[in-house]
Amino acid sequence: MAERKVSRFERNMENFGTWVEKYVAPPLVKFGNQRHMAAIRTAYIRIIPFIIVGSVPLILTNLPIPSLANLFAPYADKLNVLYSMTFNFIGLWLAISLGAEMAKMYGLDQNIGSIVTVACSLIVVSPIDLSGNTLDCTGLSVKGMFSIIIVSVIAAEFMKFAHDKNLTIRMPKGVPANIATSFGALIPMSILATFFWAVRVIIGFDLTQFLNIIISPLLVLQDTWFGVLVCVLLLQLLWFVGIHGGSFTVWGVCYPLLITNIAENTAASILGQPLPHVFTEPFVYTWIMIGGVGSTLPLCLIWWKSKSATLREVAHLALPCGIFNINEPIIFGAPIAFNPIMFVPFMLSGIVGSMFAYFLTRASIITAAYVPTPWTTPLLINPYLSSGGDVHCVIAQVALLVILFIIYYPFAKIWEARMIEEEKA
Amino acid sequence: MEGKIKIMVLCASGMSSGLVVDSIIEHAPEYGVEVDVHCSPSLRYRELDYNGLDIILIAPQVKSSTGDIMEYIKGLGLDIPYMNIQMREYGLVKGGAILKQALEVLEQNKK
Repeated sequence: MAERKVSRFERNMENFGTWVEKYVAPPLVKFGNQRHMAAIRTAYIRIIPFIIVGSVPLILTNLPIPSLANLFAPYADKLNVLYSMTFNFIGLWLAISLGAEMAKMYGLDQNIGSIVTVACSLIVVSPIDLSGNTLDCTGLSVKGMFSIIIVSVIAAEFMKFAHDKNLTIRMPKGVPANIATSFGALIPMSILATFFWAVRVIIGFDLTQFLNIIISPLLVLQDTWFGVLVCVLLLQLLWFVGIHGGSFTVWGVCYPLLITNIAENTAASILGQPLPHVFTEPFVYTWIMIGGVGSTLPLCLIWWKSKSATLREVAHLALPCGIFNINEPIIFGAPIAFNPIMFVPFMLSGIVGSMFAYFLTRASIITAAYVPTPWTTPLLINPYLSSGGDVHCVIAQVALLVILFIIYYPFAKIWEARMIEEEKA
Repeated sequence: MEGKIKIMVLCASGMSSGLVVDSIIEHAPEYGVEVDVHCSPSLRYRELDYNGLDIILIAPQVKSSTGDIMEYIKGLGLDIPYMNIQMREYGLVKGGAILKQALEVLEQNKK
C-alpha cells in the first residue's frame, strides 16, 4: 500500500477522515453511550413488539387486493382497538420499561422503579378527571412520550439520591427483611408522587404542553429536507471513518423523534387525515440504507463477477446479509471506510436517496411511512409494508436503485482496477 | 489452553458479528482449540453478562466505544483481555485470522 502513488485528493481525504474521527465522532459516541440515553434506547427496544402488533391491523385493513381488503373492512373498528390498546399506549409501556431500566442502571429495585415511574407519569400526563372518573388517555400515547422520559429521569435520580442518603424508615432489628424493604421505598415514593401532584394539580403546570413548545421546533426542524440531510451526512460520515453511525444518529439522537413521527403518522392514518411527517425509521431503511448504510446493494451486482478476488468475495458475502440491511462485509471488506475513492459515491447515495424520497413524498407522489417495520425488513418489501401498501413506493425504490447503480458504477470500476493491480503485485 | 475458550464478539446490535462467530467456530479446529463463541450488542453493554469470558473481541464499527465498555467491565471487578478486530478481517469475515490474533492476545496475557 505504501508504495502506491497517492494523489493530493487522497491525501486530503485522509486528513479529512482523521479530522472527522477526532472531532465529529467523539461527542456523538459519548452522547450515545451516556447512561440515560442508553437506558432510553433499551427501554424502546423492549416495547417494539407492541408497536409491531399494533401495526398489523393497519396492514390488514390496507391490503392491496381489494377483495382481501374488503374481507377485513367490516372489522376495521374492532381491529383498531388492538392498535389503540398496544401501539397507541406507547407512553404507558415506555413508562413501565423506562422505570425498570433506569432503576437497573443504578442497581435499584426494578419493580419499584416501574411503579413509581408509571404513577408519576400518570399524574403528569393524564391526571384523573374526578367529575366523570375518567383518564384522558391521549397523554399515554406518543403525545406524552417526552414528558414520560423526563419524569422517569427525575424519578430515577431521586430514588438514587434517597438510596445513597439512606432516606428510608429504618425498621428495628427483628423485623423480617421483606417487610423492611417494602417500607424502604415509602419515603422517596411518597415524596415523588406528592411532588408531581403538586406541580401538576396544585400549580397546574402541564409538562407536556411546555415540552411541546420546546420540542415542536425541533420536531419540525428534523422533518425538513435539511434536517434529514444533516442527519444523513452525520450518519454516513461516521460510517466513513468506520464508526457505526446508525447507533449514534438514527438510534441515538433521533430515535425518540423518529418514533414520534411515525406514531403521529399512524394516528393520522387511522383518522383518515393527511400524514404529517416524512422522516421516520422506515424512511431511513427504505431510502438511505437499502441493504445497509450507503445503499451498497448495487455494489454486490457490480462486483459479483469481478476479476478482483477480494471484491468478488466481498460481493458474495455481502449480498445475503445485504438483503436484510446488514453490510459490514462491504464497508470493511471492500472497504468503503477510509477509502477516498468510494467516499464520493458513498456520500452521494445518502444525499440522493434521501432527497429523492423526501421530495417525492412532499409532492404526494409516494406515501410517507406510517406502518412501523423492523430495520431488517428486506428491500422492496419495506417500502411496500411501511407505506401501507403503496406500490408507487416500490417503483420509486427500484428507480432509486438504478440511479444508485449508475452513481456507484464508475467509482466501483476505478477501485476494482486498483484492487486487481494490488492483487497481482 | 485447556478446555473451551469463551469468546464474546461485540458489534452494535449483535447482527453482523454473527457472521464472524460462525467463521471462528468453523476455523477453531485448525488451531486445535475448542471455542465457545457468541455475539452480543455493544449498544447494550451495560446489560451483558461477562462472567467466565476469556476474551472480548470488539468489531471495528464500535471501536470508538472500547474505552467506555472496558472501563465498565473493569468496574464490575472483572479482568478480561480484549482485542479490536481489524477492519478488513472483519469485513471479509476471516474467522481464522481473527481467532489466531485472539489466541496471541491470550498467550501474552498469560505471561
